[in-house]
Amino acid sequence: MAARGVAKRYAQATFEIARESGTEQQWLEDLTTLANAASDPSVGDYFTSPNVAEQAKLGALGQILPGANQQLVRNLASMLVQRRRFDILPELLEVYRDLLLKAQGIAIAEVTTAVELTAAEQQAIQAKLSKAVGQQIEMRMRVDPSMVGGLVARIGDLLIDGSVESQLRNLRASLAR
Amino acid sequence: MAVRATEIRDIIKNQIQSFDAVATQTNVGNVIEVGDGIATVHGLSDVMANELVQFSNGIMGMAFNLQEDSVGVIIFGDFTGIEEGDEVRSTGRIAEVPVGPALVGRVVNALGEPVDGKGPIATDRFRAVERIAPGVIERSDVDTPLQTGIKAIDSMIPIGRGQRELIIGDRQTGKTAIVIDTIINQRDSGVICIYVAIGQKKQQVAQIVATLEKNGAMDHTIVVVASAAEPAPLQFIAPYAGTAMGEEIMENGGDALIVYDDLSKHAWAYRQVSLLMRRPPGREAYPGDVFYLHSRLLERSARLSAERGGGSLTSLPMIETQANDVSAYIPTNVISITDGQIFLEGDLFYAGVRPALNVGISVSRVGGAAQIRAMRQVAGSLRLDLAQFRSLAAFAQFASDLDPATKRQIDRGMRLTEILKQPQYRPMPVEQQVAVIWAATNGFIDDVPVDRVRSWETQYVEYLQSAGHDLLATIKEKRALDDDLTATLRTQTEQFMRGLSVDQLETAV
Repeated sequence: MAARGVAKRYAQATFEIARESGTEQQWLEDLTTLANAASDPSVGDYFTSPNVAEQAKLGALGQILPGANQQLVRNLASMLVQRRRFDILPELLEVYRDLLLKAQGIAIAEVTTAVELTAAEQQAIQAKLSKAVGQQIEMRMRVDPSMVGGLVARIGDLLIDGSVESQLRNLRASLAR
Repeated sequence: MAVRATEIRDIIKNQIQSFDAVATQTNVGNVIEVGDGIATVHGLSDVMANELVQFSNGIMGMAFNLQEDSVGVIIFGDFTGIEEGDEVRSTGRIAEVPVGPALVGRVVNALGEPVDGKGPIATDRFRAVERIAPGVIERSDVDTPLQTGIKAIDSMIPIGRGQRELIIGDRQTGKTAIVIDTIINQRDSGVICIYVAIGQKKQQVAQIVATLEKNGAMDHTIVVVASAAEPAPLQFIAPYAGTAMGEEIMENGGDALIVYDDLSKHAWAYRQVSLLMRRPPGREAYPGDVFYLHSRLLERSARLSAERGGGSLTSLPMIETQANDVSAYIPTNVISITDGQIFLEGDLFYAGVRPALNVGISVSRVGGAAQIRAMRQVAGSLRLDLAQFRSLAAFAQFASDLDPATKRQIDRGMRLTEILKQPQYRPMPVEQQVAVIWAATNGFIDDVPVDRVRSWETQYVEYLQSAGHDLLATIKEKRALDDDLTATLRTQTEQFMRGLSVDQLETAV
């Protein structure tokens, strides 16, 4: 819980730096590299272990991020190493991605249907959802036969539930009363 | 409730035909952490404070802590079926309970769901559990008595409709007995009673319900139960739920009486919920807003002005002290909120003074104005006589030889103490109380042996009922003792005393 709050602050600061220099995509790639490294147990342990000297860790960072244009990313990573917060990187990346999508006006919709949809159907849904929330929609499709029919879309905290399953459940509740 | 099978079939048919594929929009979140009756939920970005939320297995909860990234939810029910990752939906409704006349005579839980096995409650009215108390303009003076039927209370610590009178004492001193008698005494007064049991043993609650039923008091009573077995969140909202039911009666112009049994356990439940929610602990580990917890609850008791219908909600909160310590945190809080307190003492209880009221330190701050005039007339000298008795009795323990005046006062005091004793489940109508106290304070029982005073009282009341013609009815109607009435009362009493032989009186055990 508290960790997420911390990751949020770092991500906001990082995002602002990236936006000022117009290198949001480059940062996204670099952060992905770092986050992948941090979630790899052997690498992650190396950077969080108190047995490894700080200088060695900082040196290793240079090998992960060798690029000349990656000075700022190296700075972020070094700071996290020094403050012993290297483990928040995966969360930082997650929040960073959310911030980026929000800045671009894109919302992610998790759409679950009972059957696979055709491309045309997907496009129709995308258009409808985007109109409903006033943002561009990036869709992530899932298929779940147990919902019988209809569609469930979740955009952030908003749940649009048009599944036959939940309607049947409501009908059952109203009849049982 | 006889519904024919064809009707049911038609209803179902209708519902299936009108079954419409409408998509619903809800604000949702996911459980991050759950346990001990609370859950931390990520998401629910649009949830309101005190809004009801529903977990994916149907259990309800209430948004309690709103934080930047998460919402602290208190769970109303079994939390063991909720898992990390479960979806939580907001409902758009603030926590509410059913209200209305259909609840009278029922036993319900803190959510207003019936637990007495008498079927569903037929009401479509709901009220928010938390509500701001009526404002200054909407209130009027407390001027109508709420008769408890207990002589010691009605005479010296009178309670008015709309008042908040605390009942405080150790365990096993008769706190609940007093309120049960009060509820029984409302049989013909038109006052609807609400008994809220917080953190009590279910066995005890069952006994209370049985007692009320046996005495014909369940017909005007709602029992709200959040027993010790129920999760702390339910114990925490139970008093507010009961108050919402009382407010419905008050705002429709009726009179209601609500009993919180007891607020110590309510404070414990709130302390538990607050600590689990990581709110900082203060004195005795209670959270900082434990005063507001009770003040906002008791402020909702009121006597409404005539423009608002003139209804009232009287409350009798209870506090259980530990070893008579009234200076603990919760007792001092509630003492300062209420309009007076009734102290019950274990020592008196074991000395046979039951109800075990300490009349010396019990007070009622507003009820005096609500007393009927006749009672005020006789209670004045009762209070004085008893006060003198208490100061003299301490000395008399050491002195064997007393001057006749002192001895007379002590004798009078002993008899008055005897008069104020009263058996359980036998509330006394106010006109009988007036007659008995009048006779006692006017010296008619000074010659009756102390251990026979209670038998004298029974026979005196019986005599007044049978031979006294309509004396008692006149007191009830006139509500005051004028010269004529006092004269009749005197002749009647003298007549009774002449026909009385002390030997006929039974000695109290």
